[in-house]
Amino acid sequence: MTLFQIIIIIFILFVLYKAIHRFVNKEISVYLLILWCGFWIAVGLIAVFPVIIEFLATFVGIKRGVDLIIYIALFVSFYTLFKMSVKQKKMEKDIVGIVRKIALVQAKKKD
Amino acid sequence: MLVSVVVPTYNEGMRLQSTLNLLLPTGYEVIVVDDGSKDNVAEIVKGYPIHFLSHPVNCGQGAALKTGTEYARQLGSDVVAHFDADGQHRVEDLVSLVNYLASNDVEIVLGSRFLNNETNFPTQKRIILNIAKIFSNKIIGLSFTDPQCGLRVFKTSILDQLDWQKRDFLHCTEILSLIIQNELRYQELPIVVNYHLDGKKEVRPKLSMGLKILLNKFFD
Repeated sequence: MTLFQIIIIIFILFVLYKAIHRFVNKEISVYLLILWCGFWIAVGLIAVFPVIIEFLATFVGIKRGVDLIIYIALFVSFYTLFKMSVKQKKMEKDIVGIVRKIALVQAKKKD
Repeated sequence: MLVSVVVPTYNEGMRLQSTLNLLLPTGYEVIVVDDGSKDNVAEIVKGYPIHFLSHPVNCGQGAALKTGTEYARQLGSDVVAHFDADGQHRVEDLVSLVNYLASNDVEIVLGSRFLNNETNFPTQKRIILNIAKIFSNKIIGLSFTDPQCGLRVFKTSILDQLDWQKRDFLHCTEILSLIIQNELRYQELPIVVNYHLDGKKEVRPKLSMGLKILLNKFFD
C-alpha cells in the first residue's frame, strides 16, 4: 500500500467518525449519514483498488480512470455551485422581505 | 392629489439635509428610506416633517425604493416619485414630471439626461451610460433614451404591474422592462443632473455593470 493510499484511508476514517458522531448527536439524518458514508467508502475502495475506476471508465467509454474522476468532480462541483447559488438568491430575497417588513412596521410617521 | 417622494439614502450624511430642504417646500409627502447607512440618519433627519423608514442592513437602492414605495401606497398616495438623496436631481424637474403626469394620459413619467444637452457629465460617466444605453436597447430590446435614470414619477394604480424585484442598480432596467411588458403608458422628459456637487465622492459606473445587465438578461 502506498503512502497516498494510507493518507486517504486515515482521512476517510476521520470523515466517517465525524459523520457518525453528528448522527449520534442528532445533527444529521440517517439518510444523510448513509449518503455521506457511502460516498466516502466508495472513495476509499477506489483509492485502495484503482482497478475499479479503470473498469468503470472503460465501461462508460472513457480511456483513463483519472479522466472519469475529473469529469465526475467537475460535474458535482458545478451542480453544487448551481444549487448554492439558487439557495443564496432565495435567502437574499427572504432577508430583504424581512428587512422591508421591519422597516414598514417601525416606520416613523410625519409629526 | 397626494404625491409621495421616496428618497433612498445610504451614507449621504449632511447632503440629505440640503436635499430635504429643497424638497419640503413642494408640499409633497417625503419618505426617507435609510438603507443601512453607517451614519446616524435618524439623527440627521430629526425635526424634519417627513416619514422615516430604516433598513437594519444594507439591501441596495432598488430594495430601498421598493420599501418606500410600499409605504407610500399604505399612506394612500396617488402618485409616487423616486428622487436621489445626494442632491443630483433638481426639484424643478421633479415638479415638472409630477405636473406632466397629472395633466396627461400617461401612467409613468421618466426623467432623461439625454433629451437635452444641459447635463455636464463627467467623461467616464457619459461613455459608460452610453454603453449601458446600447446594452439596454440592442440586447434587452428596450428603447429608452436614459435607461439608468433614477428620477421617475408614476401613479400608484400601476404598482401591481410595476413589481420590480431587483435590489441593486438593475432595478432601473427591470422597471423599464415591466413598462414594456405591461404596456404601460409612459413619457420621457428632459431633466438636468448635477454631477459636480461639493465634496461629493462620485460613484463611478463600472463596465461590470454592463456585464451584470447582460448576465441578468440570459440567466435570471
